[in-house]
Amino acid sequence: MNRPESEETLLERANILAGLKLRELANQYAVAMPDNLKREKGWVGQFIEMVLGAEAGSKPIPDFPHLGIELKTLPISLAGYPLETTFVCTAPLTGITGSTWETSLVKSKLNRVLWIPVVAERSIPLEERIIASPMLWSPNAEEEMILRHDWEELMDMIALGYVEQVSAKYGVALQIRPKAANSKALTEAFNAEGEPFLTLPRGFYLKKQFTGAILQRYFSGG
Amino acid sequence: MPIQVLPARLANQIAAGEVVERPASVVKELVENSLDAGATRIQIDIEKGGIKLIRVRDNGFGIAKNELTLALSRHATSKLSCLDDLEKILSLGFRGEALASISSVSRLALTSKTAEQSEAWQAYAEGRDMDVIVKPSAHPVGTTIEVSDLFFNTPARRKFLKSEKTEFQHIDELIKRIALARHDVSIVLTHNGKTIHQLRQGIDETQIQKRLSSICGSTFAQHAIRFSKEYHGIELSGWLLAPDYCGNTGDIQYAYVNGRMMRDKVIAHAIRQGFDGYLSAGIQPNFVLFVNLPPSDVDVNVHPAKHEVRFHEARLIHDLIVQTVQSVLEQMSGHLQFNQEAMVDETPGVTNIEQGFQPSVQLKAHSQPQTGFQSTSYQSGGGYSSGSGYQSKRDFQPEKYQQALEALNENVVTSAVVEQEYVQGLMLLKDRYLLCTFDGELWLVDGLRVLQQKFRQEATRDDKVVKSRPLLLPVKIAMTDIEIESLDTSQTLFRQLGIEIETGQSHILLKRVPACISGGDLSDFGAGLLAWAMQETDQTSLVDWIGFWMLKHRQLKKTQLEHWLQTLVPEDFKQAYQQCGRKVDMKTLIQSTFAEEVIA
Repeated sequence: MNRPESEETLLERANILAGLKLRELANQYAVAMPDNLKREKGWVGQFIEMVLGAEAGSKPIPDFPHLGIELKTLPISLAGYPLETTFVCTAPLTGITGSTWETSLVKSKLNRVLWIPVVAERSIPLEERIIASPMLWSPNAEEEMILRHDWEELMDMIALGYVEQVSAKYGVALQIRPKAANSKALTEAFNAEGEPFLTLPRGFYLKKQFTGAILQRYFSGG
Repeated sequence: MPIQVLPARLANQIAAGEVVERPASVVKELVENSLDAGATRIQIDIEKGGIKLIRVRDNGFGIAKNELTLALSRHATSKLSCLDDLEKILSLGFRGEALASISSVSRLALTSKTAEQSEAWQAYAEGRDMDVIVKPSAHPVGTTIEVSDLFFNTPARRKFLKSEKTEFQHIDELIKRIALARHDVSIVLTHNGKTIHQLRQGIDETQIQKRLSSICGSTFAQHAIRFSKEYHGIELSGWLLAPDYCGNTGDIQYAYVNGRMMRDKVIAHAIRQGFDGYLSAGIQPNFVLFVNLPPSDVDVNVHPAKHEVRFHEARLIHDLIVQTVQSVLEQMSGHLQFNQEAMVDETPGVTNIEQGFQPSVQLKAHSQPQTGFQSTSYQSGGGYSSGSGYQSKRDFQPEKYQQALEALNENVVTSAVVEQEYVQGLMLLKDRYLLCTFDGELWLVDGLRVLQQKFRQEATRDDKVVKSRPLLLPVKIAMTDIEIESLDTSQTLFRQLGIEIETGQSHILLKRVPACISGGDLSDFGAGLLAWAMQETDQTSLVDWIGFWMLKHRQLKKTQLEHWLQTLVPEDFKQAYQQCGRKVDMKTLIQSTFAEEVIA
């Protein structure tokens, strides 16, 4: 698919997908589907990126750079509640001196997001999963404040060497968790004494309650 | 500015800067006081992360009435009386600053009763000079301290507070640390009225094991090895988690010196060295370690927070810990190397009370009663600086977010109800009729008519569209071409009333519905819409149909009707009401079995 030239085009395309089963969409594009997501966890996201004409891949820029829009697929339950936390970006553990919320990757990633919820309960086989209505979202003032406070609190902990103490429990909307293919892939960070040490790479994730609240508000007409 | 003596409150506020850093520091001081007062039961109630309220209630000795005044003054304590006492300090506090400091930056009330007194007394400090006011009160033997509105008078400090959740986590962590060291005290911790921890006294081995499991988690309790070792009057005991189960977070790293929790570099270093060779890079040891040694061998008066101590023979302690850890781990991994000095319990849960854990403060108190806690006044000093020294400015109000979320979850439309107090819905009868008060009178209103009014009003606004909501999952309904065609002819009308239908080949997708429809079987809505479209084409009949569908699916809600009544155009107010319902009195209402009759 060529890239969408405007926000309206993109939203139009996304709207057409709503209500389709993954199988129907895959047939339409003659794409072979994996049986399950065990080996290709990101398949649904990549497939929808392709269908909508996203181009950035995994680069640290929005999926639709010319529109400044990030694409996120969000697995949800039949009741419309998110099933998983949403990955935002990797959390920098070094070279963060002087970084601020305004210039942070989290802020730029979440500035404008096209959410594509997909009903993805485990009991539903992959090809029967249904794409739900899209939602174009930017954080409102309140949401941005929550995100900023979380980001500041978490980055404070990283900067002061408490990387290992940051658990998923911290933060109201954002959390930091290890993000690695396995426990062997390590990256450098600093401990409380200021000495470098190796640890698992971390990522920023949006908590389910937060994405759940966004969905809830949007789909109740608010 | 001339040199002058500072007023008492200001001096205390300055001192509070290093003692009272956050709610958890207050909890620490208060709970330590309770422990020093020999309490066996401590209840800690926290509200809003301790920012709103911290209440600590114990069954300790209590404070005599004539000492209450002193208890709230600075540098007043029962825990020592001369410099020599400082050398053999066994109580947790001793500086005599805590209560005065806390009371200078919060509203503090202290209620206490000793066994000798027949009544309890309450004390609180007021004003610039912190004069203490004492008045009679009701309380069982023991002490309750209530600290509310922490930092209400020091906004600079208040800014450093994190979200309620974070502050409570610090308190939670602190209580766990204290509870680990004092198995002989039962501790209850509640947050916003919800019980978080209920830790019963651990007297025998099974109880201690159970308590360990509820504090450190079952993995730790099952796979940690208990050990105990003594060397020239220095006692080392605790648990080490088998290296295979250690993760990279090091959640459980608790070290105590004479019952006092520590973040001491010497101890941390020694443990790490002891684990050397057992842990791969990035993996943290998990342990609980108690070091008990004669109080004269250690200086606790290093920092107000007492997080660090100075060992007189630091290297000896260090090497002792390294050795102990190594020998425990060797035993664990099967390299049985008999060590005469080490007495290691190989399996957790082995009944061995003698080697087992005993809280040091109590043990030692027997031999040195003069520094124990037999006296009744109630002063503790020191403070708590959380080991994680990260701070940043913020004025974040988590309550707001909470409220916002709750509002979202309930129903978006209820928010406006607060603005005008005209209408108050009392109850919804038969899912349709709203009994409400309007302008001080009792009205019975037909919900269906309200809905119709509302829809007509919205559909005649400038944008001529009824408020709608997108469906998370569009509803797909199979149809014949003729059916689709007849639906298509009414598309404009549908859009006006907030309905969006996308037509495809042999099916339609229902994508948006009026915002007031929050549930119900939407495929039935789609089917019904088709039935309507086969016969009718005008707006009035569509509005009526939507109303009946909502009635059938019990979609008329009290709050929704209340809100609609509120927002009907003001000039039409009276008129709108008269069209929708009528004034009633209780008598008519009670006499009539059918609301329909009343309105008709």
